[in-house]
Amino acid sequence: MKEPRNPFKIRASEHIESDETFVRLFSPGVLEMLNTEDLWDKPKIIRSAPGAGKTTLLRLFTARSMLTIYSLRKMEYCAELFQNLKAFGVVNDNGPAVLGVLLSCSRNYATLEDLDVDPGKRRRLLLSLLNARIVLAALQGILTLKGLKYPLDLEQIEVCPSQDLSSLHGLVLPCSGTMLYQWAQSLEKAVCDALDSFAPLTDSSLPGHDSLVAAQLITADSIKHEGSSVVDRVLLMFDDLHRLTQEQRRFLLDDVVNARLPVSMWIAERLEALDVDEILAAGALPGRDYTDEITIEEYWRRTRPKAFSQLVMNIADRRAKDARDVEIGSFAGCLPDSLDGRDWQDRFQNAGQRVAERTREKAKGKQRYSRWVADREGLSDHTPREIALSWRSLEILIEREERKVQKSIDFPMKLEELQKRDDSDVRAAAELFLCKEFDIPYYFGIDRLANLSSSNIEQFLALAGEMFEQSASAYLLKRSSDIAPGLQEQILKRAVKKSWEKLPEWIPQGHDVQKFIKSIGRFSNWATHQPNAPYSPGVTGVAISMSDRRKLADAKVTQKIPELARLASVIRTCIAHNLLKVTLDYKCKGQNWMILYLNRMFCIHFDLPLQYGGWREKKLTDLVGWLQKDFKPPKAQLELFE
Amino acid sequence: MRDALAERLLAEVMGWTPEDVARERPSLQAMAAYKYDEYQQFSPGMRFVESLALWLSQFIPGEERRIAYDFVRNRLVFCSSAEMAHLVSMAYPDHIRPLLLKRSAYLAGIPGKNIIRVARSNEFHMLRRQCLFLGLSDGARMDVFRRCNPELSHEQIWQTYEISPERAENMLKELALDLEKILQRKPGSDECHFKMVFLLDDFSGSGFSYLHKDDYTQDFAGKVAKLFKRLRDPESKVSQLITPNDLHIRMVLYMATEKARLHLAELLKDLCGTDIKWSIEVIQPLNSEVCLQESRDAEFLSLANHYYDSSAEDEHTRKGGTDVKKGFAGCALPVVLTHNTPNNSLFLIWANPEFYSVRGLFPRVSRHRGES
Repeated sequence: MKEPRNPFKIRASEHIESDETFVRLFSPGVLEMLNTEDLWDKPKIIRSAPGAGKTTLLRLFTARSMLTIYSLRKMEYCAELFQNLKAFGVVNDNGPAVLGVLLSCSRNYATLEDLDVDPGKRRRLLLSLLNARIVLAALQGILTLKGLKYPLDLEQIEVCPSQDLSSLHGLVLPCSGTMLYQWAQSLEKAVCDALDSFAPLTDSSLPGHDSLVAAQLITADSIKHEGSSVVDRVLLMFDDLHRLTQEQRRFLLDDVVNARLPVSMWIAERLEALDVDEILAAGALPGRDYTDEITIEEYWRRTRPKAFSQLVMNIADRRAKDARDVEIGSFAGCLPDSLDGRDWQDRFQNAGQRVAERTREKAKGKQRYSRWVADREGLSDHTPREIALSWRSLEILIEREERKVQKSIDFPMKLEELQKRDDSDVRAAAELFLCKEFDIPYYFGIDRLANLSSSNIEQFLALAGEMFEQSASAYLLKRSSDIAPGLQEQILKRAVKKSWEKLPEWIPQGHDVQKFIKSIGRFSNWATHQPNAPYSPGVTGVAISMSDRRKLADAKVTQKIPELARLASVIRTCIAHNLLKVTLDYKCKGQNWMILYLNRMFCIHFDLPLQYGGWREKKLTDLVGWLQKDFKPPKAQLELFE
Repeated sequence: MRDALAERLLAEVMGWTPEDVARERPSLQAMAAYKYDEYQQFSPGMRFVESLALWLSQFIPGEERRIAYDFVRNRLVFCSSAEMAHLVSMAYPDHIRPLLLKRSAYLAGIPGKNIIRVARSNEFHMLRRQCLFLGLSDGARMDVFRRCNPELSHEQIWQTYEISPERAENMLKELALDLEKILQRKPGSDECHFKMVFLLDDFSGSGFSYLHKDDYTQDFAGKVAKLFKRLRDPESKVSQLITPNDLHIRMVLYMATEKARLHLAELLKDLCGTDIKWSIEVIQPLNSEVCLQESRDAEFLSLANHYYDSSAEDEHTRKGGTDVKKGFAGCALPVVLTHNTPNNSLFLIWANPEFYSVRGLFPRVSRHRGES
């Protein structure tokens, strides 16, 4: 296959045909999220918005990927991955030790629900089809691991399950791989024929199963080649569970997964499969202690934010190295993250002078600021950037002081007080304000690019892909591949604007969603860019009380109030597609809150900082109102949006 | 030339900065991979981006090159092989079969809405077999047409409108055999003829080469006129394929301009007279909006006017009534077909640098040597 010109444009792992390319592009850092005690014992449910890497993760454990990793284990780009998998016991020095059986739920299972038979029968048919396909996938995987041809060499496989499975119609155990293959094939055909049939279905024509019996047939001990087990463990992986109907999905999760199968099981699904109540609970449903649940974005955001930065850098480097006609060793190296160049220093100098003049004017005749101003006047040995930031933060602090209802006596305030108040949040707000006012880039560098990705790898690839295009173009013209900070910001703003404009097309309820996000964004901008920076470094989200959250999730309430139902549905869609990040039970002001933070990508669209932490409480009526009418700032602030 | 070299050349010709390259290259590469690289008349080793760079380099740097590049990005219409195959595959099921069903319903006395009944009727099976499908040029892709429509007999599809006496005799023999199977009896002599003749082709810009009147004699000329002459000549074996008073001629053009359709309609009316029914079906019409117009495309038309080699004109091109700055017959089309650029498109698109002082973006191989 021809190498891609811009490998960042390859998104879904299904589109990577070659296993070698897949393994080369796979970043071992992703495996961190599997570092749990019960990796193999408890069923694991992996959830995320589209593009977080669920299918990529599952594909890694399939037989072909495993063999590829094993054969490339000495290569530099594969050594770490091999060692990580070895630590999990997935491979060892002799080869793959786990058989990963991957089954996508997108293949016509949902149409079983359309059959005109009773629900019990439909479930039995679902189990039959799953059993057939699990067996076929497992047999194929076993032969792949042994380097044999599928299905020609199935005769070399013996199937002898330890449990008594005599109730299985049409299969006599123990048997050869060929027999099992024929049984599974005829089972699959029978169900598919029933699906395709126009004639009324009779009970005798429907081969129903009561359990996921295939899991008993494909255990590590059951399947043997030349008298011995092929692997130590079998891992059954269901992908795209959200493609099933709600009834099928619920049945599988509640009844089948709960049945404690003799194989390890991982299930991947999009967050959109969850209903309002589930999604607002962010996966932490009670009574699900029999499973491990990982919400990918949540994992990176809450548990390992630094690791996500490292992960995406690694992914970016792997992609950059894979590009045709371009030699870029380190992607991060192409994104300078400082403004130390002469042009910027001049700009900062000019900005510093203007802010200083303005601040002196505000402090004029007020003794209480004299020491603070004097302190800033004495910063001549600092860089122009530091001086400008110091003046801007002082301006914010003076604004805050001036807005106090009860002003302090006009007596010089201590320098220690200035140092105490001039904390990192105020500095961050000062930087944001300064950059916006003097047209200095703010959104640049690999760390901010990683932040803008909102813990979603596909989002990172989309933004980084635009950057890479620029670097590759410069390389083509034999110029430096480095992208100046100003240009980085331009590229990112352009890319985000494109995504913003496409939002109504690619998200369900797109217009409502866009309107809602727009109001949150405009409100956050208004709240952030107050002269006194009251919520420094800025507001990037809104919150409702947990009692309001309960109303949103309560079907009885939403049935009575359609506006609430609409709001609940929009919030659900936003969370499912990672447009809003939810934090539950946040304690503040004696109440518990559900905070909805904007996807960091939108922070660039609304000129907001990238840090989390700044939010404002809102009532449900406010949010409902934003679905009907955009948020409008008070008149005095309107110019911010012009 | 390697892709990177061609892209570098293009960037130099256009005076692009890395930002310009980053903006333009992905879509150019995508379009090249999707369609443009498959153009069959590029010289060996040549691909789209290189051709584009060379084409642009003949213009004065700056404004002229920008105008030319904008034309490629915004106005060029390239019909790929896959797109043409799609039009071919649509021709019978979407355009011809409904016509046969309608006619059969009338013959069988079945309401047209009862489509399944009509489709199962003997009238439909007979009429379908009594259709003759002839290609008017290689572009008709009769092989694809045949494979797309297995319900038609190979004996009723022929790649050209020139049919030898032996071939005609064989066609009639096979027709009689198939009709006998359908009717379960020997067909009558009035039944053993083709009642509908479909003339298929890929593209028509002006309709001139199919049918026109000779300037001096005012006789009909062109491919369709030639076919008519044979069909009406009682001495010709080909004339036995049809009965002139029970014949429907239908031209099926996969892609054609409105101008071509109007031209053909006007002349077919005269040519067929009252005894032969005729009609024209265009699968993908190109309306006048596709053509370049002074009011909208003045900048590029000015370039096309300036970058011209009058040696492209000869007795064939003069039949169109204009020079070929805007292409044959002044059609001003921005259209390229994957196998060759039509001569109705602007000269600046198809000029072959081997013969002319101007370079075309998609050089054309001419049917008439006179063009060289």
